[in-house]
Amino acid sequence: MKKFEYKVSEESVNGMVVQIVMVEGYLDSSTFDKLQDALQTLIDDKQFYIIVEFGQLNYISSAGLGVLMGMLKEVRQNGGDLKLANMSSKVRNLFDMLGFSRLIRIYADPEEAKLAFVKDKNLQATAPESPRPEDDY
Amino acid sequence: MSQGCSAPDIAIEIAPNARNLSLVRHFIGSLAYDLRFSSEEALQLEMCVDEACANSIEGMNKRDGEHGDSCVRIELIIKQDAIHIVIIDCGRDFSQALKKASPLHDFSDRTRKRGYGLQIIKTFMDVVDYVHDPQTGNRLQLVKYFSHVRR
Repeated sequence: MKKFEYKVSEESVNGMVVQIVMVEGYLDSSTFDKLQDALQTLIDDKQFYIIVEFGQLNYISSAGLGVLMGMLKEVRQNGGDLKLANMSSKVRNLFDMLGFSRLIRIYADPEEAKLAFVKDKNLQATAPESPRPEDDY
Repeated sequence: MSQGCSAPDIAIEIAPNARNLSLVRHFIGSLAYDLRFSSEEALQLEMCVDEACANSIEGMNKRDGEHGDSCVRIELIIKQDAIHIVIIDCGRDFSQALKKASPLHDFSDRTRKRGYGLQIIKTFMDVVDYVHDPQTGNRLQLVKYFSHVRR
């Protein structure tokens, strides 16, 4: 089993540039800093539309959850969002049991997450001041 | 299976290195399956032991090498109605952090980057008992009752 690896790719969706981070392995206290560095690099480059693709991730600990919550806060403060896609049932179960799935948006696959970014953008264009109900930052 | 308060059924010692956590998780997950915990309960056990050991490792490494050749010891006692897991290390006292940590039922409290580990333990374990001794270190006992055994 792979410890932790990630790959970042960029896609243009209806004129929006979306960053897709594909992760593989497990996110625990021995690996979380790799994801943190990857996401921080994107944020430093002012990339605030991020999808983390969890298809090959088999475990996430509090250290990994902390990275996601920290980065979620940062991208939303900059008008973007961090969306998760393609979770295994085990990882989804962890998010659900701990209540994190109520705060961070989770999609069946990256395509659905990309479309959600487009919908978010359209909504912002029509009602720019409307807060999203689950955003408590 | 232990009948009373006795020597552990299983004891594992790991060097204080976070790279060892995946092995501990695999072991706990397999054991939980063998003990007929549900898949959700097995995941909870796996996560709690992972968090407790990660905390031990961090606490030991923060003591700047004072721990010498010490390790994290995980003792498992399997009783009729529960599994008792004792995690022993010579890291720093975390009694205040444990006291402050509330179970993760408050959904508004999720904006931090760190500090969810002890909350996760308090959320999923039936009993969490902690003792710090300046001489011997930390002893964290976690108890999870079998849901399939009538108490």
